[in-house]
Formats: sequence, C-alpha cells, structure tokens
Amino acid sequence: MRSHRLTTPPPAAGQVLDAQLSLLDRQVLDRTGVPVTTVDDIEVSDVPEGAIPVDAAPPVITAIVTGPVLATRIFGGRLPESRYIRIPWSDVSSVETVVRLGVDGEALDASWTERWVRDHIIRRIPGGRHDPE
Amino acid sequence: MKRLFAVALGILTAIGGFVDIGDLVTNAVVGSRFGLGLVWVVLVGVIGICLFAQMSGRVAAVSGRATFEIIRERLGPRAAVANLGASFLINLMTLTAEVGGIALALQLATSVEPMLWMPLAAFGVWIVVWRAKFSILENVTGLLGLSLIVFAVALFLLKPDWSGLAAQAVTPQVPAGEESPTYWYYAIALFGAAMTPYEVFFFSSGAIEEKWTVKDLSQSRSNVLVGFPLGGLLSIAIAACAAVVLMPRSIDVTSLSQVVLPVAEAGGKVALAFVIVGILAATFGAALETTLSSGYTLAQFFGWSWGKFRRPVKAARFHLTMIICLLLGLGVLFTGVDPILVTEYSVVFSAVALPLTYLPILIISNDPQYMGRHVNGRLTNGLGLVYLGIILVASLAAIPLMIITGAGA
Amino acid sequence: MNARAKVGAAILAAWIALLATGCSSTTDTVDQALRESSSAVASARLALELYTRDTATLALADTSLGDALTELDGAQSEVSELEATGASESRDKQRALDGIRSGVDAVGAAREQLSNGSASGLADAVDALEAAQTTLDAAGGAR
Repeated sequence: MRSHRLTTPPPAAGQVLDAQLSLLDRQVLDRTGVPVTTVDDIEVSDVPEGAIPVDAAPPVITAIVTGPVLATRIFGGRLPESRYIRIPWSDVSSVETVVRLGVDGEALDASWTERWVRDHIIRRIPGGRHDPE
Repeated sequence: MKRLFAVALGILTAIGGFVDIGDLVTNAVVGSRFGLGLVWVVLVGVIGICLFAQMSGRVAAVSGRATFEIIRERLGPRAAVANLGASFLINLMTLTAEVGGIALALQLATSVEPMLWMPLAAFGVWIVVWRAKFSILENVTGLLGLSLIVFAVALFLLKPDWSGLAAQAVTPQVPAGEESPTYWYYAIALFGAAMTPYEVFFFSSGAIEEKWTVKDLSQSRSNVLVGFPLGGLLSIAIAACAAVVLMPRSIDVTSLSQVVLPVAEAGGKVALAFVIVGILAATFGAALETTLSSGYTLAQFFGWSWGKFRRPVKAARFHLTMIICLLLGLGVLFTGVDPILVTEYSVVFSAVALPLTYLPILIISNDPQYMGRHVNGRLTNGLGLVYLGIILVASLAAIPLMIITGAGA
Repeated sequence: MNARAKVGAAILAAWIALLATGCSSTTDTVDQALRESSSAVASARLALELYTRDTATLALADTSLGDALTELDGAQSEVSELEATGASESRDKQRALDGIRSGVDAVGAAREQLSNGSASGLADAVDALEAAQTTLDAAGGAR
C-alpha cells in the first residue's frame, strides 16, 4: 500500500502554537498581572461533520474554558455546555509563558469564586484589607 | 557590611529553621533506642534536602514561576493532581503535628494541658500568616530557633564518651533488644523527617514571595549549603543527647518531655529555658511553613491568586484554604490523638510521598524552556538520579516495614 | 491472566502475607507492654531526680510524670485486654499487670509529692519508683 504523506501546512501569519504544549494548563493573568485561573480547556468552533470540504474555514478558538471542566480533563467525560465557565478569546491580549488578558479579572465570570470568597468571608475578617506588615 | 549581615541572616535562618517537630521527635527516639547508629541517615537526608532545595530555589529564581504551576504546565493535570493529592494530605498531617508540637512545648513551660493550648496555637499561626510580612515571619522564627544549639552545648556539658559515640556512628549496629526491621523502619522515618517534602514547595514559593532573581541564586546556595548541614548537626546533637542520657537508663522516647530531660540534666533550668524557646520557635516556624505550603500547593495548581505579598482580599481563596487547613488540623488534634503519634506517622508518610514530590523538581530543573542556561549540571543530575533511587526504595519499603514492626514498636 | 494482572496479584499476596506477620502474639504484647512501662518508670525517676537536684522546673517534672502515667495506663490496658490461654500465659499476664500496677502507684504517689510534698517525701517517691522498676524488670526477666 502506498503511504500518503501529509502536505506541509500553509504558512500562517502571527504566532503559531501547539495548543497542548503552550496553551493548555497555563496560568491566565489579567491586565494588572493578578492570576485569574488556569487554562483548563479550550473551546474551538465546530468542525463540520463527515468529509471536510476543501474550502472550509479552519476552526478557531472561541474561548478559554475553566471551572468544573478540569474534572473531565483529568477523569474523562463531557460537561453540559451550560457548566462551562468561559473567558472569550477576544479578551486575550498575548500568549507567552502565561496567557495575558487585556481586561481586569473583576469583570470575568471566571473570577466569580474568588470574588465570592473575598466578599463573603475574607472581607468580614478584620485586617483582610490591609497590606501585611 | 549590610551584605554580610544579609548573608549571615540567611544562613542563621536556615539553621534555625531546619529542625521541626518531626526532626525533634524522630532523632530523640532514634537516639534513645539505637544510639548514634542511624547518624548516617541524617547525613544522607541532609545532602538530599540540600540538593532538592537548591534545585527548587533555582527553578523559582530563574523561571519566576513556582513549583506547582510548572508541574501542572509541564507534566499535565493528571500527574499534577496525583502529586497535589499526596502532597496536600501529607502536608495537612505535618501541619497537625506541628500545631500539636507547639501545644506540647507550651505544656513543658507551664504544665497546662496541651489541649487548652491548641486553639491558641492554631490562632497564633493563623494571625501571623494573616498579617505578618513574609520576611519577618521567616527571620524571627529562624533566629529564635537557633536556641536549639543548646542541645549541642548540653552534649558537651554531659562529658560523654566521645570515642564510644563515634564508634556507634561509624560502625552502626542494631543494639540488643532491638531488631533489624525496626532499625530500617526508623532509618526511613529519619529520612522522611530530614527530607520534609513541604520544604520544596515552601522554598520555591518563598523565592517568589521574596522576588528572587538570578542574582540571588548564590545567596540562596550559601543559605542552603551552609545552613542545612549545620541544622543537620543540631539533629545529630538531639540524637546524641538522648543516646548519652536516656539509652543507658533504657528510656524509649515517647513524649516531648523525655526529649528535653537530657538538656535539663546537663545545664539545669537555664538550659531548659533555652530549649523550650527553641522548640517553640522551631515548631511555630514549621507550622507557619506547612500552613503556607497548603495554600501554595492548592492555589498554584488551580491558578488562583496567591502570595503573602498580596493583601488577603487580593488572594481570597489562598487565605481561605489556609484557614480551613488550620481548622482541620485543630479538629484532628481535638479528637485527643497524641501529637507525638501524629508526628511519627507524618514522617513515615512523608517518606512514602517523596518520589511524587521530588521527581517533578528533577524533571523541571532540566527543562531549558524554563531554566534557560541554568539547567542542572552533570553533578546535580547524577546526584539527583542517585537520590531518586534512594527515595524510591525508601518509599516502597516504608509501609511494609510499618506493618512488620507495628509502626516501630 | 495477562502479565500485569499476575504482577498485581503477586504484590497483593505479598502484602497479605506481610499483614499476617504483623499480627503479634500474646508474649510479644506482654513484652512490649513491660518495656513501655519500664521506660516510663525510668523517665519518671529521672525527672524526679532532676527536680530534687533543682536542675528541672516543676512544670517539666509534672509534665514528665503525667506523660509517664499516660504511658503506663496504655500498657495496662494492652495487657488486661489480652486473652491468656493456659496457665503459663495467665501467670505472665498477672505478673505483668502487677508490675505495671506498682509502676502506676509509684508515679501517682510521686505526682502527689510534687504538688504538696517535702524533700523527704520526694526522696521516698524516688525510692518507690526504683522499686517499681525492679519489679517490672523482674516480671520481664522471669520469662
């Protein structure tokens, strides 16, 4: 049987990344450098079923996903979409050893737990708002 | 001059911070039952902890990232979760032992029941973690921990048979009344006490807390390479005091009060005061470190905001984790379990978990993507592989030996 | 079974065998309890001697005696829970219990002396501890 070799991919503009090596499990920092979460998973736009037509647009990353999806990454399975906590890819400003966002963590869904713990527990303990001395 | 002061401070802190309740108890037990026949294990353990603390400090200083962040990035979430699970549980056990140790030390000073001291001890640890600056926390407990030098002083005051002690150390023998499996069980326990896994996470997160860069590497190297061996000498002094005073009387150490009796015999009430201060500082410092480590490991794995350099509202889940861990530890202590027993189990389980905690460090410190040109040299890697072998053997043998010897009975 | 399952079964069998060896006999338990008791009485004696020589604080002596008592209580429960089969085992058990009992009494009396005793009372307490130690060593040696 003749083996078919894949043709080289077309050159792409901008950064080329291996998602598994350089994107997944990276820290996500917000605009001010404060950690928000890790990249637990990535949401990619749909790949058409069946044979892929030659002129089909390539799938794009639509969001960074975090939250309960981590459990499915470790143990397997699939979460219903309503359980995904997404950071839209449009919020990402750069991808280096960490993923930097162009927005503040405050506004994101992904920082909800942090805000909840802060407002309902930590803020209530005296001294929480001060710098350590 | 200021530079010299900083160097001295670093070294002194490392010496004083080396000993924790695990070292205190295990070395005293071993000294009272086996004399100095297990000193070689302390030496092996000290070299090991120097090796790995150096590696983890270097990783943090060069890459600017803390251990658990890199473990997850480099080895994937599955490996990281296994590592996290083991490390976190052992850490919690060690934390419980240290807080119990604080209470026991306070009992030695005041004769008041340890259980009454435990809530105060846990609260004390929490308030320091909540409010105190990282460097102050480290320096104060480290320097006060130097009080433990009184064990070495006591040893000299006891005028022991030095050649006899040396013979015990150089040609180890299992004494009459003890058996081989028990000897090896305690060897593993002592190894686990010296190689304290939480040290790795604490050291590398601490490097980030104090904002180390490549320039600080030589400072950290001297802290570790001078401070830890001297701390190891303190451990040996603890064992030697027990060997000289307790072993001839057939006293097996099972409580903290027995650990300090040799010091009282040698130097009276003054020495006793020093040793109690030293034990308090050592256990309190270790309690702080294990509490912080529990926060570091969880926060770094999940990508939460962490660090003592941030005010608590800016690192909410980090602080909540530490509060919960302290409460859990307190809960366990309130069941009335003997803190010494918790200590003895924590060091053995530390030995079991060692491969999981150290293998990632070895892998990452060889990764040029994070380390640039500061990857491990040949010698470091050679030693690292040898130690990985030792760690694996100790880890596999620990539980069977625990069962055979009935946990060292 | 494939190779992996065989290895797994072998390891499991080894562990079960180890668990079996870990179970101790009656003699072992009595030995262990006597050793613990002897050690506890010896520490109590050392602590008390240091106190009479004024090289230990009252707090240390009191804590040491308390720890010794806890150790002795533990040993006592271990031995009394034993089921002795046959005359020699019953004798061993009884002798051990008597030895431990004398230790408990001596340490208890010593603690009393600490809180309200005189110098002579303390000296008596030290003697009582010495006697208890001898009894315990005899119980251990007679087997």
